[in-house]
Amino acid sequence: MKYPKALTGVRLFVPAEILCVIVSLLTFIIVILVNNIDFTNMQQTDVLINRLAVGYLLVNIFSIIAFVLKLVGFQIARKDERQFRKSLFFSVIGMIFILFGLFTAGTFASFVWGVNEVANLLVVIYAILAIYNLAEKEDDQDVMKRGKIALVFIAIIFGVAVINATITIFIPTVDAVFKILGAALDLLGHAAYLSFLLAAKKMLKNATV
Amino acid sequence: MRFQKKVTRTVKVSVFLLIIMASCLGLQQYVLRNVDHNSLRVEGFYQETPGSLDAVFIGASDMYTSFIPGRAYEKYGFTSYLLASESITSDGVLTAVKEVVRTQNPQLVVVEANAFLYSDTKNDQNQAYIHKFFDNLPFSLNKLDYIQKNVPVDDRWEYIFPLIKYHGLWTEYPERFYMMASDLTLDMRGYNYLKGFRTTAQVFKSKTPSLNEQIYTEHDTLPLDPKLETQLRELMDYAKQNDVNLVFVRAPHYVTKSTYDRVKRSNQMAHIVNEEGFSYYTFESDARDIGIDDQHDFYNEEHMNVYGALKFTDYVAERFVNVEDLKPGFLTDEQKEGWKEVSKTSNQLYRYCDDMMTKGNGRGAQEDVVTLFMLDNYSDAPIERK
Amino acid sequence: MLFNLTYTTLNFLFFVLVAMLLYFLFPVKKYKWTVLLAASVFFYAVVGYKFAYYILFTTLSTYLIALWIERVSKQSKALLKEKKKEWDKDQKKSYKNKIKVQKRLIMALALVINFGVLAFLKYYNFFAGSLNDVLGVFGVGFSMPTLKLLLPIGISFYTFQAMGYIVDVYREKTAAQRNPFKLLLFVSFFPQIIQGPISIYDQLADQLFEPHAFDFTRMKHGMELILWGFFKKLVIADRANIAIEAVKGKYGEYNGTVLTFIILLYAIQLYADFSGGIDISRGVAQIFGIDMIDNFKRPYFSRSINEYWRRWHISLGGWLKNYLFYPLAMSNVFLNASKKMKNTRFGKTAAGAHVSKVLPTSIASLIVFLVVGVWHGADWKYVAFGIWNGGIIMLSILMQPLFDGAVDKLRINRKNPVFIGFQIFRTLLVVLVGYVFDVVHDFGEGMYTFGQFFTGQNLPEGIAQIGTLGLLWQDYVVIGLGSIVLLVASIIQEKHPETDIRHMLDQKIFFVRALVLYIGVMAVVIFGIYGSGYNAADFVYMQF
Repeated sequence: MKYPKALTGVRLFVPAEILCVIVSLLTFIIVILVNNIDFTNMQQTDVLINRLAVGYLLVNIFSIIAFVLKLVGFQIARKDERQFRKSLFFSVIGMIFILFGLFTAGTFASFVWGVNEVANLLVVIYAILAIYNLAEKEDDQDVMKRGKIALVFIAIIFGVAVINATITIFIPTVDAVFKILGAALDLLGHAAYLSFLLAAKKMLKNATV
Repeated sequence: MRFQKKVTRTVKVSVFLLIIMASCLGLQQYVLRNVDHNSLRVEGFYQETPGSLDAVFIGASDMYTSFIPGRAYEKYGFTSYLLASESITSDGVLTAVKEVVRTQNPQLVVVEANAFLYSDTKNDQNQAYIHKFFDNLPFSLNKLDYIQKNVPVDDRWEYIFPLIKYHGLWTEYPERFYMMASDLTLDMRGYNYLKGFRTTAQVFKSKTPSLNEQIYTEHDTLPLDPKLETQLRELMDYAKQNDVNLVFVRAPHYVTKSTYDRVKRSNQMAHIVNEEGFSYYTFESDARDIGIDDQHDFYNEEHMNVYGALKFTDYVAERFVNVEDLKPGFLTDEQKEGWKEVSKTSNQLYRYCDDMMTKGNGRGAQEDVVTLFMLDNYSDAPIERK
Repeated sequence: MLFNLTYTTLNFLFFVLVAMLLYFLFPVKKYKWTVLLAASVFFYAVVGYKFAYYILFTTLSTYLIALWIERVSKQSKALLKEKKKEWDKDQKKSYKNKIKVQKRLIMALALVINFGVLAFLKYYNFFAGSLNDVLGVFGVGFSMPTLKLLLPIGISFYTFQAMGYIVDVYREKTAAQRNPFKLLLFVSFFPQIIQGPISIYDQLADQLFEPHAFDFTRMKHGMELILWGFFKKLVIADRANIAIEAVKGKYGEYNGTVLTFIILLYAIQLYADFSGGIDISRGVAQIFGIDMIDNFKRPYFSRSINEYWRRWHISLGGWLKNYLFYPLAMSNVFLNASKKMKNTRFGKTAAGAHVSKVLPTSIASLIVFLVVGVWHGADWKYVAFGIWNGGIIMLSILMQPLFDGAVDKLRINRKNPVFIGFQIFRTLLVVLVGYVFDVVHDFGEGMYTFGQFFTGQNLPEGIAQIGTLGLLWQDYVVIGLGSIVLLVASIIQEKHPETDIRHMLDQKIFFVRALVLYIGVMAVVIFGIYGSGYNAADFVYMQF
């Protein structure tokens, strides 16, 4: 095998990404439920809040597992492809800012969480570029194409988030629409990235010296 | 390698621009900013959970020095906030009401009449007073609406990005440090301890006689400035169209000969407001019932000290609960704990000011790091009035 | 102005961004230049719509006259070809001379009309005022009326640029532009309309009309240059200008120390303002794929006043050299005068031989600098400025052998850093004397200032007075640090003239590049003089 470490890394990325998809779905459901809580009905509210607490707990546990899997994966994979180092670096940065964000609130907290979001974005971008480099060396057009599609999704999701942040100032009522659109694109983005990782795994498995 | 290079380059440029933007926003929010108690008050309002406030009090300094939200919560259970700014303009009042409707939609919106009682529109055109309020509002359609209607084209950028106006404040950094620290602390804490209340620990002793006794029987009126009256009517129209439960109040003042005309204008405003079907509470005339002592309860002609504010708060809160049917809204346990902290801090502040006034050390007291640090030495038990 | 589109405003940056997007996304490559034209027309409409007819008049007259000159040229060539065998040498020569005179007259028409408009708008009141003063001395009752005349934005720059084009067509250096809109773009190109640089048609036109694809490196370099321009203008120049303005018209209230300080400050302010504006113009043009000439090459490092004027406002110097200096120096009048002097007794001596040889150039230089002085403004102090600079150059040309002799006799090594330092310092002193005329209100104030340099020095009082000029000590620190940054950058550039700092920065690792740019941007954001807290200073050369 030509890139055994990269393959090990990608093998860890796949379950991590599946967990991320589950986390996205759970978060989406939680957001909808929270927005629909009727605080005047205490009994219903209590039950719902208990269920939401379980949901939050699962989201956090899955997120931590996914994070650890990716971190280990980058650490191993970077020995076969340099770009993974950047993903590792930004993962650590993101983690530091998450921890920092737990102790802040207000505008400062938004800023800290914003940095974390950007760091996560860079983690994925550099991971895709790293695998793309390997695919280019192996001349695997399919993986390269999937990588480009995944990057396009990332760019669109980022663009929609920026437009959402801007437009909702002027037209607050479209916030819900953009949130749903964002969530849908997020899921599609995850799917594209997952498909890319699976193709990459296959490519790396078949890559011979 | 071309594709990777393009992506890497795009990422680097985007991250660089984001860092520049974040730095500028950070500077604008925390460092190069004309932060004062007005900023902390307005910012604190936007930290409140949407829909969690039962009443919002809007106005100028007469408002934020007169009413103690922590006291009102402790005695009557309703939550409130003072969205007030120094010498707020009539446009500011209208924008504030719109912002309150947008973010809180409370049971009751209370507007102190000060902005409409000037004899001319000089206050409305005063750039300092305009900026004190509008600079601290977050970006919103209401803010943009104000900018578009009132601000000359060439000045608009600095209303949208106050950094353009205030970036030169770096020369004053040492003097401004403690207010910037207060701003950062407030932001990181996530809520305002005093819900906008501010006072000065001083008892006003004046040789100029107070005409407060005369007010009770004063029924004469003077016309409002035409532009201010138009603004008032626009406010009332807005309230009707959006089903806002709006009431007007006039807080007690140490009225003298030089400010007596305002009383007459207040009477005129009462007529206008009542005609449109809104309530106008001339608490200025109720000073006797409130128990306001001219020689004890003011720190200057325009503002009550904590002694006066306590009495006023009790009176007004009870009035609104009984007459306006103001009821406590739903609060989560976490929110209740937060409001308990607010009440305790307000009690500590009262005792602190009382101590200062007894010793004769007059100073301002508000949501800032220095004042909050000093409060630790004082009891937070409820204040019992004698 | 309809709204503020000065180069250092957010409005302008936004305008450039929109123009850039439209240009690079424009679908028809052949007509991309129309986007530049639309942007330039829009820009001029906003900043100077009241006087738009002046620039249109200049463009139209230039367009028609250039075509006319070219038509005469072509027709004459065709006729000569036709009559090649028929006419003898004398006839051909006579015809050629006739055509030359005809073309010259047509060219003169363009020059007279356009320079006439410029001269009238710029100098009529000065002329009327001066004449009235003279008539008053002689007790003559008649006085010329003064008019309320306003200068259209950029008139000096676009008139010179258009007339340069006319002369180039006359000299057959370039073909006449057949598309009036393309000529309008050349005349009104928005990055250079406010304060230059004054471009040569051949150098600029092709770049304007050729479609340019988006290039990241070029855009990056353009933006870096814009940032550098902003730094010089907003952080250094506009800050220094606050103190300079405080003293304007009140020179009598300040002592020699303050006035010395102000002149030094002015030297920094003028350079930072003008070169900063040019950097912004060039940076914007570079984004669109257009390279405009650099108007400055570290002028304060000059070792002679001659060299200074080859490094300062290079495009104006170049224009005057091409279109005024050479025609004068090579004219029959000057050459004949030189020959006549050579044949005199004095002319047969060594000194006389040198003087008669350089006489055309030295007198032409004096005239050119008189024009430079007057170009700067309609006041006797600008005439004095021109005479001072031209006089020094003239003297230095005439006395060159003496100086060379002295240096050789004293066995001074011309490459010795001390000697070079002396030359630079000497040149700077001469330049600063010229600046006095630039910055004072009038000639009388200028003379007072010179006197104060020698008799009015008082350091403690001066420092106290400097504290009242509207700047805090922190501002002076910023000016000082900014000037050091400018000096260091200039030294680096002087040591590596074959490249520029942006290319050198490209060789550094990404983190270093990003850090330098980040510091640059934040320096402008924090220390820049902009917003309603300050009165934004117009670019110094905008008034010309």
